Amino acid sequence: MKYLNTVKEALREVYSSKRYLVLTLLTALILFLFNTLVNNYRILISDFSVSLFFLLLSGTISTMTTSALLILMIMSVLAGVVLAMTIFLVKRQVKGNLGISSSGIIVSLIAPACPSCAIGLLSVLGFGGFLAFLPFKGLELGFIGIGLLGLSVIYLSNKIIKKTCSIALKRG
Amino acid sequence: MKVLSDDDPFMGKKDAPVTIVEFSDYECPFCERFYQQTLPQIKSQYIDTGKVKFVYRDFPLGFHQQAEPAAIAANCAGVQDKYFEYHDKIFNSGGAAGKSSADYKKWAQELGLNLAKWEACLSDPAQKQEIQKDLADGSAAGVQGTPGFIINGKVISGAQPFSVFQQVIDAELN
Repeated sequence: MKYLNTVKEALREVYSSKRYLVLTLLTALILFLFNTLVNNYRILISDFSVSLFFLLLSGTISTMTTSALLILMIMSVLAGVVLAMTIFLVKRQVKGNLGISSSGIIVSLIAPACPSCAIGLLSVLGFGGFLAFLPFKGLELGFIGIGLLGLSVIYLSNKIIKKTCSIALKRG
Repeated sequence: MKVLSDDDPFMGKKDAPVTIVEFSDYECPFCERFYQQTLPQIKSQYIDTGKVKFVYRDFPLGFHQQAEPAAIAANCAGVQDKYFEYHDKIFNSGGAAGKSSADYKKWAQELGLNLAKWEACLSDPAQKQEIQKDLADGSAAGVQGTPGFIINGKVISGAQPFSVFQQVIDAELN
């Protein structure tokens, strides 16, 4: 409950400025598109057209399981939130946030790779075979990603609602 | 293109202007979806009209237990010139998931294959080697999952709708 209130307060503060909402939505969209289209990047580069772009997007989404689609959407939005919070803190010149934010965002880039339906960066990098032997065929990465991003949101929220800089006490 | 086609079974004119090589897994539900929803349209509009040569190559995924046995069974039917009939039997039965050697034998009987010859072929090590070659060629060409398609050298991943294939094929024909 305490964490939820902290996150709510932090989100209220960050999104009091509409530009962070735009940043969040844009980031979520980019990550979603990246994960759905990355396996067909070659043909998109060689034969790009707007119609092919949308056909591949809708075609790939139709091959995703409901769980994979849901995980991808949640991760994309969470990564957008983490990025917005990080930039908010950087602007407030609060140090030490990039590590935890970037780890969550990196996980969202590799996302719920599905070895047989071939979505996600890990599939393109040739790790589809390894994922195939995991109990949930790579969906675990999605859950881990959501967990990491969730922890990032809580950590960053604590920093956002803190209004003072701590003084490190010295001995002697 | 010659390397990608290898000596694998194909439908359509041998010298068609567009070649589609499908790397597929008989236990993959998306490969079955492609077979049921998209291949019939590609066949009627492009393969039967001489515009596309459609080559089938095996890409059995490691976690699909029946993918390789089904592929070998189909290849052995192909030795007796009944490859695509057997291929259709597998996908019309919902794919290789949950199937067994009894099912493969039943289909071979239904197609009127010489059973002794077919069964001898199943244990021929050359069949496994052929499948390993398909896997290696597919991976080298950029196939990362099934179904994967190479259309005149261009890679398309996943059970995309007919409209995607139509756009790419038409671009190649023009």
